[in-house]
Amino acid sequence: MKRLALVGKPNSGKSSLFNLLTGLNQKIGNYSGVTVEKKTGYFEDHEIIDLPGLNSLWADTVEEQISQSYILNLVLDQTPIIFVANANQLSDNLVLFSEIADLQIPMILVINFEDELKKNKSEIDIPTLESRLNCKVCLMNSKNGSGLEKLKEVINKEDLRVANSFCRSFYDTFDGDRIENFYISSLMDNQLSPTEDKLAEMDQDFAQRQMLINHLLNGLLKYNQKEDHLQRRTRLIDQYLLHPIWGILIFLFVMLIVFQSVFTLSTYPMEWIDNFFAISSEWVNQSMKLSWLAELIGNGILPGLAGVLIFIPQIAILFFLLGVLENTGYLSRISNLSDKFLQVFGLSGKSIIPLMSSWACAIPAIMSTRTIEDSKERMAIIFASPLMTCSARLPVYTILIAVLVPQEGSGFFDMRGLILLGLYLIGVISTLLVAYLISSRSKLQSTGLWTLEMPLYRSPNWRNVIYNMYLKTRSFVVEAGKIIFLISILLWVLASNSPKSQDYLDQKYSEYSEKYSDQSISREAVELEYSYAGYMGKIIEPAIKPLGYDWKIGIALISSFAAREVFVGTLSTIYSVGSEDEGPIIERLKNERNLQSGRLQFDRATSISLLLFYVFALQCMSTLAIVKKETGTWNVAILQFISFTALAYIVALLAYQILS
Amino acid sequence: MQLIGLKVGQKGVVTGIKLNLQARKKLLTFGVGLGSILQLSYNPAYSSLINLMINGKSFCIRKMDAELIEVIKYEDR
Repeated sequence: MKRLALVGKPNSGKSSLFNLLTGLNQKIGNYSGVTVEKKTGYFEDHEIIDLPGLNSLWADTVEEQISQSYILNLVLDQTPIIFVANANQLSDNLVLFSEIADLQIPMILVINFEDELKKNKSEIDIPTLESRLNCKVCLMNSKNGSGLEKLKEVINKEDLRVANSFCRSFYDTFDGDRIENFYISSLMDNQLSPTEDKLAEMDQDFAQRQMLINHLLNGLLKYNQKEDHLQRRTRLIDQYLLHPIWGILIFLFVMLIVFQSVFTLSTYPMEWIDNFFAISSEWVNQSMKLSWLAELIGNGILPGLAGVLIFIPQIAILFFLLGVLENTGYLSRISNLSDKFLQVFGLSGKSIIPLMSSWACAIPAIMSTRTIEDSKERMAIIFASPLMTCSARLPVYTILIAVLVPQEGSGFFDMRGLILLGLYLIGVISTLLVAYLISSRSKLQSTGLWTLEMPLYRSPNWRNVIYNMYLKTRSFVVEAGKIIFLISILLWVLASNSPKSQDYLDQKYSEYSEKYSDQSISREAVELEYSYAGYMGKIIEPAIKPLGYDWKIGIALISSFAAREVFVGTLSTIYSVGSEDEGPIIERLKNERNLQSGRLQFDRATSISLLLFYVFALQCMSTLAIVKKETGTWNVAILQFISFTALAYIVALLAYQILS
Repeated sequence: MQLIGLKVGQKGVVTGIKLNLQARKKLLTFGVGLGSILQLSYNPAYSSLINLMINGKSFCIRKMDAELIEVIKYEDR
């Protein structure tokens, strides 16, 4: 199998081309630094490696170092490179091309965004460029796939050539009769913090390359500057979207639409899924002959899975909308707008992307901090970003808000959406405060210069947005589904079996029925309380009782320490086992009574206390693992886990004690 | 003159960069070195940032950093 590497500057459409070639997909955004780790895909008998975008082989960030060291390794086995350049920035992109060409690796130059060249009535003389570079050049549009067939033909049929070198001779030294070239060793010597001599060498190198490229492109580009309407359109839109007042108002409005859409648009599909599982459980219980199997499937597995699958509409809508914002280039504007505000917390506008990515999941968010050059700021974001409301919290919030606030009104804005927005705001505020605490106490050095590329506004690449939404949602369902499937079976076994005899249970049922004669106490609820799960839950009950939680919530809390979305699946399974009712989970929770006190278990105080517990608690093993990977030590992850859990406990305790 | 002294739409040639080594390296990888031609494309009054154009690429830097970059007007070069 032949190997090819995709290389290019950030925002050149490299990842879109990767998807076109391989059929695989990944997160693609109209924002620098979306690919933070190399990705592998397959096209016919070729293995394609997609590397993170880099500005120069003189790597300046951790992300660029990953690409740089990978590219330098390609020299040994002469793995060909497909270099993707942005047609609107050809002169700038060819500087990086020239750096790689000097490594003397076979290359293909792909000039992307052909459609934008046409819109600007601009042309590139491809045959002359090919002969001047001594490598194949393909003009294409990775958005609609035009030019892809030609590229595939080049990859399959042509013997890829080593392009002409540009400045390699600049590094030649003469040792008697021998000429030695120190270009690669000079690149390998590159440190993130350069010396004055090294910087002078780089300065000379860049100036020479730029001069050679200007000479090379002379007469090849016919840009109609007056008709560059894409730049003009971007500048015009920026006057509003980057305006200190209008820009912020538009940003807040966009965010409000995103959160309301997550709630409002998903209402009916969620009801359909919930009802489908309720009917399925009932059908299984009535039609299956083996009673224990019917119990396991109908009261164990199906309610557990329903607890995850019901949130597909909300998660899909969230990923879809974030994908649209990324693809249009608006996320860069949000970075720009937020810089002044974030400086108050010791951060910069670059932190906004990891922070907003945390709304989807803290794991890619923490990985994307590699694009932050400032190590102090990077550490602050790694530490604080798990406090942002991730998609796994959404199921927990949704179900608790639905229990807390009855559905009211038929308009787009309602109380439930506003509470959800409030919870997201608590997440944002606590994240910023913790980030401030970390950045103000950290002894790490700041780099001092902040730059941010501002891409052109583009219509979203819908195929990428939808693929991205599909893959992220599938990943959520598969990853959470696997855990929940196993936990559902385990919980069902523990909740359906009791160490006590039937006579003992009969006696307890009579006692409760007598004690709460005005309320309907089910036999299942009593059996659950005296099951193995019931006894386990009661062991931890003293610790969580001051928060308003009973042992059932305790079991859900413990099971969700691996992954917080398990909470809802666990509650679904527990309340299915302990109820005659096969109806939707929200109704069962609303009607659930505490057998000891007789009060509604999910009353206002308990629901708010639980919501606040989930705002702060770090219940995600994968996040802790990625923090360890990115910081190189368990210390940060352990400190995060302990401090966030303690914070969650204290806030939930105060909320319950005050409200009850 | 300082880069920030250019008017919106005006071009300048970089004649001096008083930033630290790491910051200068960063600018260089962005294509900004001595002799580079930069255009000031947006300079909102209450923002901490200015937008610049170089070789068809648009990017922004903080105003306090732009004060440390010396330019001469393109037409005066």
